[in-house]
Amino acid sequence: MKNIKIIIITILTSIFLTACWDSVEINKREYIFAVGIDKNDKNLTFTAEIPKINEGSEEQRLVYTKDSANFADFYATSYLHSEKAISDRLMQVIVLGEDLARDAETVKRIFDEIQRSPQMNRRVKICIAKGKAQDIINTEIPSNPIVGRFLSEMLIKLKRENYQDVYTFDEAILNLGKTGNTMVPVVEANEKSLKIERAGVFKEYELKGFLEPDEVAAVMVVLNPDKAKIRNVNIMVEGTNVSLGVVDIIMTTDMNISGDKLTVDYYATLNSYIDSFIIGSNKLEDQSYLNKIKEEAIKSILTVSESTLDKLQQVYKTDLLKIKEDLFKYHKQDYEKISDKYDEIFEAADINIHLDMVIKSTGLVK
Amino acid sequence: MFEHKITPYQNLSILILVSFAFQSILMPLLLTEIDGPVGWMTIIIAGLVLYFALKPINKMMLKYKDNSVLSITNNIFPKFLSKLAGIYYIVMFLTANSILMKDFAEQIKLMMLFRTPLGTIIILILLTASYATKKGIKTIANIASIAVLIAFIPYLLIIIFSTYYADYSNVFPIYPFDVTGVFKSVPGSILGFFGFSILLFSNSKVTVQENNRLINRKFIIISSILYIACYLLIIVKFGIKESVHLVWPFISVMKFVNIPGFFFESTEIVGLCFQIVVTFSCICIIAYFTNMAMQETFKTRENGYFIFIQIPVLYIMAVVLPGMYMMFPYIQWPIIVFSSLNLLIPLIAALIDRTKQKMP
Repeated sequence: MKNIKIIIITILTSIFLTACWDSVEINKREYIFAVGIDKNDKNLTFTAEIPKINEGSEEQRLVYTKDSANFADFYATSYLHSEKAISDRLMQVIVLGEDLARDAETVKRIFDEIQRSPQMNRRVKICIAKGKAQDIINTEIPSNPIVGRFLSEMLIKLKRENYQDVYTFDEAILNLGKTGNTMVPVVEANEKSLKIERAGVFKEYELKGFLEPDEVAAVMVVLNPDKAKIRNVNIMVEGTNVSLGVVDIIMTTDMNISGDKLTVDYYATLNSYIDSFIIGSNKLEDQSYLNKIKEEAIKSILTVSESTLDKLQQVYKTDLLKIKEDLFKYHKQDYEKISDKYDEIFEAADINIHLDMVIKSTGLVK
Repeated sequence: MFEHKITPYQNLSILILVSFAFQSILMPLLLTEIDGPVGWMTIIIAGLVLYFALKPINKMMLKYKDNSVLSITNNIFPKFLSKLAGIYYIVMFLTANSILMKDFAEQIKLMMLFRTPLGTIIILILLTASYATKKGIKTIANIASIAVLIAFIPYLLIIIFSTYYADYSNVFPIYPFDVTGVFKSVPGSILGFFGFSILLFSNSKVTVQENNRLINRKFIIISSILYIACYLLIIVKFGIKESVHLVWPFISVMKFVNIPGFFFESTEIVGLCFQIVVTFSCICIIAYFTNMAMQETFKTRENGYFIFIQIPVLYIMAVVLPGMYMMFPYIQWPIIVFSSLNLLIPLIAALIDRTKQKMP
C-alpha cells in the first residue's frame, strides 16, 4: 500500500512539475540591449540592438530599425517580424535622439510608458544622442561591438566617478518630478567609438541645450563637492606651465531670500597638489610664487564657473544646481513665498562662488 | 477537531504579518494625504493611541481567560449589541480579506500571470487558503511563524538592497509640517495596524495568556518600526512628489533591488515571491478569524465549515470590489468608521466591564 502511494505521488509530481507550458527558452528569445529613439515626420523611429547571445559569440549583434508610435507598438511589430520572442527585461540603455529630446510632449509620452511598464526596469540607463540615436546604435566599435554594453559600462563609470549626475531613467524622472530640471549625459560619435563628455540640459521634459565638459564638472562640484572630480587646472604663471590636481573640496552653502531676491553663496576650499611643473626651477619653494599659482588657478576655475552659472541662469533658465530643492527641504517657509515665481527669481538670483585654494603638496620632488 | 493553542511567538508572528500586509496596502493613502514627508509622525501617533488602548483591553481579556472579545461582549453587552458587534467583525474581516485578495491577485496578474483571468487567480488563492484555514489555528499559526522566517525576513532584507542611490535628504522638510494632514491620516494609519483587531481574537488562543500584554506591546512597537522604516524607505527612494503617483510603492521599490554578485532577470519577481508567501499567510489568518467571529456570533461548536460560506462571499466581493488604489478617493469615511469601531468596541467593552466590577 505504501509503495502504491509513493508511485502515485511520483507520477503525479512528474506530471505537474513539467514547468510552464507556455515558457519560451532562452535560445528562442531576443533580448534588447539598447534602444535608440528618433523622431521622424509622422512617428518615432526605434532602433534596437540585440546581441546574438545564443550563437556562441558575445560580440555579434543584430540591429532592427522600425517606425512605431510607442514602445508597445514597436514590440508588437517586432514580434511579427521575427521568429523569436522579443524581450526588454535586460535592456541596458535608452538613447534619445536630439530632435526627439527637444519635443517635450514626445519625451513625456516615452517617459510615461517606461514608468508605467511592469516589464521595463526603471534603472535602465539613459542618454541623449548628439544628432540621431540611430547613428549611435549603428556605430561599429571594434573593441566592444555591443553598443548597449559599451554605453552601460561607460555610464556606470561616469556616475561612480561623479563625472555625471544622472545615468538612469529613474534618476532623470525623479529630478524632473522634483524640480522640473535635470541634466542627462550626451553620447556622440568619436571616430570609431563613442564618447560621453557633455550633458544635455532638460527643463520640463524639453532639451534646452548642452553643457560642455568643463561646465558639467563645475555643476558637479556644486551638486556633490565631496565626490566631484575636477579636471587638472592648467595655468601659465610667469611663463611656466603649471598643472594642478584638485584632491578634495570642502564647501558650504548659504542661501537667503529677501523679498523676491534670492542670494546663494557657495564657499569652497580646494585642496590641491602640483601635478606638473618644470625640472630645474626652485620657484615652488617660494611662497609668493605659490600664491601666484593659487590666484591664477582660482581665476581660471572662477571663469568657467561664472560662465556656467550665467549660461544656466540667462540662456537655459534652468536650475540644475538644485537650489529649488534645497530651498524646499531646508527653507520651506521662505520657499513657499516664492514657489509660484521661482523661475523668474532664479534668473535674477545673485549666485556667487567664493573660492579658496590650498596647495597641499608639490608631489614627490620639491 | 483541529483546535489547539498557539504559542506567544506564533501570536506575535500572526499580528506582525497581518499588520504588514495592510500597512503595504494603505501606504499610498499615507503618502498622498500628507503634504510633505512627515507620515512617520502619523504612524507614531497611531502607534501611541493603540499602545495605550491595549492596557484596559489586555486587562479585560486576562480577566476572561480563553475568551475572545466577542465572547466577552456576549457576556457584558445586551444581546442585540453583542450580535451587532459580531456582525461588524464578520463584515470587517470579510471586506478586509477580499480587498487584500483582490490587490494581491492584481499584483500577481500584472507582474507574473499576464494572461490568466483575475477571477482564476482569486479562486486559486481562495481554495488553497481555505484548505489551510479549515485545518485550524494551529496550522495557521505554524504557517505564520514559518512565513516570518522564510519569507518576511528575507523580503525585508531584499528591500534593504534597493536603497542604492537613495536620496536621504528626501526626509526633509520636517518643519513646518502639515498638521491637518498628519492628524487626518491617523485613522488610516490605525487601520494599518490590522493586527490590533486580530489580537482581540488571537489572544484567547495563546497558551500563556499572562504574557499577552507584553506580546501585544511588542507587536505595536515592532509593527510601528516596520511601518516607519517602510515609509521612509519609499520616501528616500522616490521623494514625496514621485511617491504619491505610485500604485504599489513596494513593487516599485523592488525594481531597484541590486544584490551584489546575483543576477536576476526581474528583481521585483524575487521580492514578489516572498510577498506571495506573506500575503497568502495573511489571507489564511483573516479567513480563520472570520470563521471564529462567525462561530462566536452564531454560537456554534465548530468553526471550520464556515469557510464554505466564506468562499463564495469572498470570491464575489474580491471580483466586484475595485482595486484598493482605485478606492482611495472614496474611502475616507469608511476608514474613519472602521478604525473608530475597531478601537471603540473593545475599549467600550473594557469600560463597561470595569464599571460593572465597581458596582456593588
